[in-house]
Amino acid sequence: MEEQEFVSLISHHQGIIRKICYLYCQNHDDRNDLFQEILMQAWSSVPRFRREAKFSTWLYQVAINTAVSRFKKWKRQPEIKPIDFKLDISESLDEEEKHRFEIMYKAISTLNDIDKAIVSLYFDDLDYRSIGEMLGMTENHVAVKMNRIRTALKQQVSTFN
Amino acid sequence: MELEEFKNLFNKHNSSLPSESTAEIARIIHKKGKSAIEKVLRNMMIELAFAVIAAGASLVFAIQYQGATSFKWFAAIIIVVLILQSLLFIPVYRKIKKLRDQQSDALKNWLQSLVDTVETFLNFYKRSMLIAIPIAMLIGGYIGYTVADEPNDPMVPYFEMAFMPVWARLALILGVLVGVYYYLKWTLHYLYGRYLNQMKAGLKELEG
Repeated sequence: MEEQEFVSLISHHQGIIRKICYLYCQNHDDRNDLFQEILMQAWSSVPRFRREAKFSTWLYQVAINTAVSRFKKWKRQPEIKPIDFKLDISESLDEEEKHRFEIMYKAISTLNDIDKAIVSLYFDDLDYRSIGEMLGMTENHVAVKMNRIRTALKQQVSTFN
Repeated sequence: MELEEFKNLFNKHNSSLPSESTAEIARIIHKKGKSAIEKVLRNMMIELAFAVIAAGASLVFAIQYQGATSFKWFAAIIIVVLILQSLLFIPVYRKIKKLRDQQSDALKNWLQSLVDTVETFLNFYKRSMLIAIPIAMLIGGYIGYTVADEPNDPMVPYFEMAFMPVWARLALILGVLVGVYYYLKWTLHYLYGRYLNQMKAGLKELEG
């Protein structure tokens, strides 16, 4: 694939990368770093992209693999970096909804990297089988994990409330 | 708020985010990465570059101080280490680089291959160090013993230990041995181990 074609495809599908970045990183700098890392990894992996597969699925796989294997320096001082999630949809939400949205976002940020991958794929309406194929897990394992995630999120949300 | 409701709002939010221009994307893809794999690859290259510089410098000293047997031995050892290190590093470097470019494989398989490769490399590296340290001490002892009789060797005055009692010499040698061991252990963890641990943590989360 030529660079121009790759850039054009990325430009069209960059929402996928943004979504992953928002779920994995809670502040602007980390999100930008991860965004760049995913782009670089996608470019170095593109020679192995088979055209019979959908580019968006392939990009999702690269984005998740990169997000999980990124070097997390911030793990040593997680309390120092605050969450700076600015809602761009505030017009359509009242204050109460906005508050509840932010609490759920904070709860998701406490999940581990694999659970975040499951949540991000679930947000794109992928079924458990497809999620399992991407992560290398069985469909049942994904279902069990998804139930645990829902329970964990409910608990976190009640703690934040 | 339920996860389903959040999903709809999150997707809506995501679609309203500003996009990067194609020029910016083209610029980013040529930058250097900061992922755990990139750091392992980078550190391997730094180690090799350092070994090449050390070998070059020791060779220059050996040529410049022709009468110094210690420099000749030192240069010979450094060059042998460089050759052995290159034989170990280059195939592993290529394998990790190939894995880096296979990010489109299923996450678990990909992480497992990466962890296996880096772990095998690191274990071999550690074992080699454990063997190399006593060998280096023995060679050092032999050089000291043979070079001590050569009055023209410029290094001899720096390693004069005659003024020290035997127990102090032994304690110093033991101290250096232990110090070198822990320093190398820390270096290997800093250069590779901490990145390997992060990849392993990802694998553990996948299995749990």
